[in-house]
Amino acid sequence: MAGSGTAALRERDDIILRVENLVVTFRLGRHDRVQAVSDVSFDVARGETLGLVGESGCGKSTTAKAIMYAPRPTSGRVTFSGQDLSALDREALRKLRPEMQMIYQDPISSLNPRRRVNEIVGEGLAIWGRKNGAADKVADTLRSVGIDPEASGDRRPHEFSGGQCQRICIARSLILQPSVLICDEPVSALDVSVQAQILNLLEDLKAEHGLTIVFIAHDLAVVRNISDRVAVMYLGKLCEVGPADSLYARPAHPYTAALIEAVPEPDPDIPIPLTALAGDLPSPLSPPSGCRFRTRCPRAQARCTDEEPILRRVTADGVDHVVACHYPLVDAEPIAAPVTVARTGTAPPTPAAATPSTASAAPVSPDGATPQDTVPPPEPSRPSAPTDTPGATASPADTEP
Amino acid sequence: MTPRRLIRPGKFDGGPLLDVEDLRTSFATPRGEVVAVDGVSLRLEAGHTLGIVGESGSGKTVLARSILQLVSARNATISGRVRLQGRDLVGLSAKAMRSVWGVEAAIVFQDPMTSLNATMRIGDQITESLRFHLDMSRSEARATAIALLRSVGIPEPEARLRTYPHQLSGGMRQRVTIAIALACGPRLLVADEPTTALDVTIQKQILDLLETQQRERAMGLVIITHDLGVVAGRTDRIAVMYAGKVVERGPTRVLFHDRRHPYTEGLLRSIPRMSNPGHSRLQVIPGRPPDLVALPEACAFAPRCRYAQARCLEEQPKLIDVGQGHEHACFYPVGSPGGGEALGRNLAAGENAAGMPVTPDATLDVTTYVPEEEAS
Repeated sequence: MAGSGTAALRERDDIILRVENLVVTFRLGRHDRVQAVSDVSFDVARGETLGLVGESGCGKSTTAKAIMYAPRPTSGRVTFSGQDLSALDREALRKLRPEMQMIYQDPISSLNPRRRVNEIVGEGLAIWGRKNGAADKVADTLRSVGIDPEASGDRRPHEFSGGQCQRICIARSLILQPSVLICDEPVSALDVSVQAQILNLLEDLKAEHGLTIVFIAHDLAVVRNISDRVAVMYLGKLCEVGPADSLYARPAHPYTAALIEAVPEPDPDIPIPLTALAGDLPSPLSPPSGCRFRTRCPRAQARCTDEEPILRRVTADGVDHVVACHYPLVDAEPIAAPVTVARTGTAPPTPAAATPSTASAAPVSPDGATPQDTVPPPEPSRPSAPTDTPGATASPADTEP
Repeated sequence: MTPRRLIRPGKFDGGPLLDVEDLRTSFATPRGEVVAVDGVSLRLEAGHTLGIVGESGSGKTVLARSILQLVSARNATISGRVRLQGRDLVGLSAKAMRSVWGVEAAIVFQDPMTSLNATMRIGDQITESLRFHLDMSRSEARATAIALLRSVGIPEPEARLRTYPHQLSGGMRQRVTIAIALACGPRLLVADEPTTALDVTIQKQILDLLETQQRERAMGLVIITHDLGVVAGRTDRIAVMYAGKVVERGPTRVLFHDRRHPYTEGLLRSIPRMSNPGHSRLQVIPGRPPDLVALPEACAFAPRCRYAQARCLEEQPKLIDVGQGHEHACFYPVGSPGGGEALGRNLAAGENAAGMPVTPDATLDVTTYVPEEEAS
């Protein structure tokens, strides 16, 4: 799960948001540092919904905030509509902010309890001095999210339920007509019936306003429903990126497969899979060497300890994903791949090494033109279940009950 | 606390392990009486699993706590009967309940961080009940605690005995609370949203663990959840709660395939499923759950129901048995001729008897919210 490398980036004209080699580091005490997001690259096309999934602690929310430059990422580049955010000064960045809005997980605590709904929703307009017809605009926006402005405008957040508060949050973020909406677990705190209302509402608003959405969630079924593309994160790195339909149908990364398998289906006739992903997320303070997922991976081999897998493209009948795994589940001839480091096996675990330049240059040409032998297909990745390389498999600590 | 020998109740035979009859829990508040659990009856045989499903505010947590007599609020009133192995628990003093808690019945709560004592080592929290109830010696209790931790899948149990809850991850903490709950071999385990605070992967581990433990110990298990996915493949029977009442219950398979109550139907249809194609519209239950103060003598779901007729607003439906142990409380059940006609009438009128718009496309959320206070 290394997931360094920029293979997930596409070359298209309609890319509105491009994130390259994003790194976010937090200081912990005097000496320690935690890399919450570690060399993540992806892009979002205009009008697309990108789902970002992973367990808690994998860096999803930190990624979202870093995209917004709130706070500024430690390194890496975020390009919005062709503008490199790191090149902007404070004021220019501030001017750009209305274009990107965010919705948070807990709708009640993200609304100021002392303000009235009209003030909350209209605040953006007031800040930007768009006073002309502001009251009408607030009313229209409230109506478009299903809140009656006459009855509710003068009320305060505590008078509303969680679902209604989330609607108010959505209204607040839409009033400045952003082009990108970043939703950080917007429905996790809501009941299923209300969750359905909010998901439908987001789809409607997306169509109506031509929004681009980055949708962060831990619920894979929700992400499946709303996303065009899905990116799976683990411990600060990307594991797999691909179109939602094919990613769920044919996951290439063992972690994606395990996540999907763990989702309980609301149907008693679907048997519950016997296997469970063992253990917990390792501490991000000292992430495992090589592939970060190897301590929990049923397919891990010695190579996974030594060498960090770089995102590369796998294509096979109908599958076209970018995956960071030495032994992906989809047996495909990897078309273009991150070259060099591969064969040696003994290459030191240089994260983010693998010369990003080559990596990014090669994989974007999907037409198989690249010579096939850059990376040999992983030793016919037979599902070598009980490996003969002790110590490389799931750590003994993760005993299953 | 003086350790006591555990007095096992006389051999219990016949009748269900848990028999809840007409349980009613209410809270006196300045706004009026809040009836959180309103006449609930349930039965659970030993070795079986019962799922209780409902949205937040449906009274499922209060029900769980009422079964174990854990509602301690001074403004609370509990009436009805909760028979555990034949003995009625309602009205027992906390002192009398001490021989029930942990020994005959135990509970696992939603948030393991708040249900564990943050200032006590894990080992002490487990051995506490072993020493108290089973009168074990220090070393005996320690050995048992290690075995328990191992059985719930905690690596290096000897080392973990000396750790504090904050040193463990959420999943590990929930395993510890399960170990504590299982310590004295309870006959009944109530799990109140045991996995809501956890990731899907950990959720699966915990649910698998509960299932194995239940099977090995032939316990009765009650799983309370808002997620129908959690109970679908893991329960024998399911009860669906709405506004403090059971509105439908039956064997799991029957309930999923032949649901009759419009609320159950709405719940099932509003879940996003992995098997659906992307961007499929979800069916919606418009509006939100009712305020539990002064509910009228009517079907509480009627204002949000696509099937509601005038009768639903005047009369409270009772649970009726439709065979196979399947019961529902609805005058115009889904899939029945009466229900079909009712829905047809509402579609023709464009609204239900309570004035909620009803359109052919149930995915449209046609209501605009008016805060409840507005109505009064």
